[in-house]
Amino acid sequence: MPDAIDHDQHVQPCLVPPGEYGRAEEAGVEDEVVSLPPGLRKVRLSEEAAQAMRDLLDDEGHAAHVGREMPTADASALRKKAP
Amino acid sequence: MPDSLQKVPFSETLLGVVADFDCGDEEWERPLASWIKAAPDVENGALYEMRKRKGKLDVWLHVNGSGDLVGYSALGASNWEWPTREDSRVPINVIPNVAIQRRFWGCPKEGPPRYSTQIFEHLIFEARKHTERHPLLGLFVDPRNGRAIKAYLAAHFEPYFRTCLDDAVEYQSMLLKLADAPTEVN
Repeated sequence: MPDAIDHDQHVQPCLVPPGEYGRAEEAGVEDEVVSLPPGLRKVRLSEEAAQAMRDLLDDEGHAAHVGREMPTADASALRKKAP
Repeated sequence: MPDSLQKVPFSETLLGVVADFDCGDEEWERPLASWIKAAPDVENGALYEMRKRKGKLDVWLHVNGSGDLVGYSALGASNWEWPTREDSRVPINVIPNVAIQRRFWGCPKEGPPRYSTQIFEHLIFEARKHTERHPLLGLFVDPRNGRAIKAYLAAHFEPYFRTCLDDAVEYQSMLLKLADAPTEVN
């Protein structure tokens, strides 16, 4: 079966991942870099930080917060709906 | 009450709704919009992380009585490593990101509860359901984000420890103690 590759052509090292070709040339497409929120990253607690957390948990006099339940809506409640 | 918010669980089908999400131009504000707008295959984005963490990360959109997208909130489990083997490895609740669209900052104007207060109250309530976690709600905030710090302090979060997660930014963590789980939750 014939293919569209010129096997005699010298192959250059691929500096851009194949899946990325064409993206930068597309009008309005910006490089998308999303960073992981700090709260989701691995953090090693210091002894002091761990002790502060224990103290807060053990302190009966420390106010514990209740919050309030927010009603759940269907997505149709949003004026601008997804296509 | 027209200015009471409702929550809509975030999913891929709602990406179009957040396409124009705008929560400010500052260096610490732009990543919040990028995070919620990221397609499911974009590493670190909200949808990517929701799938990766298999139910341990919840994200909601918040809509007001007029059908406007006011903001979003997220709740997950911390990935914090404890210093000694004696420490319990139980995680705490964390707010990875929470954002209100710029045009709704300080709203509703007529009086409380502000949208930010409503969203914090919602996150506190949802966090209490996670009995597998320590009854604490934590977050990291960029120290330059004075508006957010003011809102967290008003919601009774307390400064906890500071840590440098990026080369240039020493993030401030904050903690809030939670009441026992709501009785209606099994």
